[in-house]
Amino acid sequence: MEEPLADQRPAGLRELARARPRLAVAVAAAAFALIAAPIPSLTWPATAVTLGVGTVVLFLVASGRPGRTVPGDVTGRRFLPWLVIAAAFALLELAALFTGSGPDFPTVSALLGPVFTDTGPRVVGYFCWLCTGYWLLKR
Amino acid sequence: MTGRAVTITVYVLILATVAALDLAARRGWLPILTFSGAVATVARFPLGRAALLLLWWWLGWHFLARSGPAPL
Repeated sequence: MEEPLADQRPAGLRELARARPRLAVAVAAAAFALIAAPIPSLTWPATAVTLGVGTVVLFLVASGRPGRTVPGDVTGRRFLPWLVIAAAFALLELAALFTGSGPDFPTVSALLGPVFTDTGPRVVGYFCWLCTGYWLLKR
Repeated sequence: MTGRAVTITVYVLILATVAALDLAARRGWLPILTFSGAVATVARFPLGRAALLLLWWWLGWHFLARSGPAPL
């Protein structure tokens, strides 16, 4: 049986080839963010944009793209700290939500939501959201 | 210190803990998964992956399509 050929390119070129899809996604996300961010929140076009992105992600998941990285190992002890952090955050959010998310005990949504009514933060928000989506698809 | 300041401090502390744990995992100071590894561990299960993607989509919709001005 033949051994697969090793990549003979210099390390710098190999790294560049690996970074190219990420760079392309970042450029596309930035362009999309610039177009979508001026659409005001609480309007149907803003909802349509997020629904459209969600539909594209569903299509990508169904078609198995992009290729996923090696899955993480399931080792309880190594995962436990993250579970504790997630549980602490969830408890805090739920407590704030069920006590009415007032000014004294706000949820993250109540704190950050008003920030995303301005175009500048919305550009950053869309960019981060799309890049995170790509990162998540690769997991 | 107001209740609001305490709440914000706790949120910031949680975020700082995430950053510190991830750094400790990457440097090998603690025998734990990196943040990325923890997400990949959840994503290896179809239901976990679906939940992560749904949460991601909901966050985008919630903050970018449903955010309004702060109440007066």
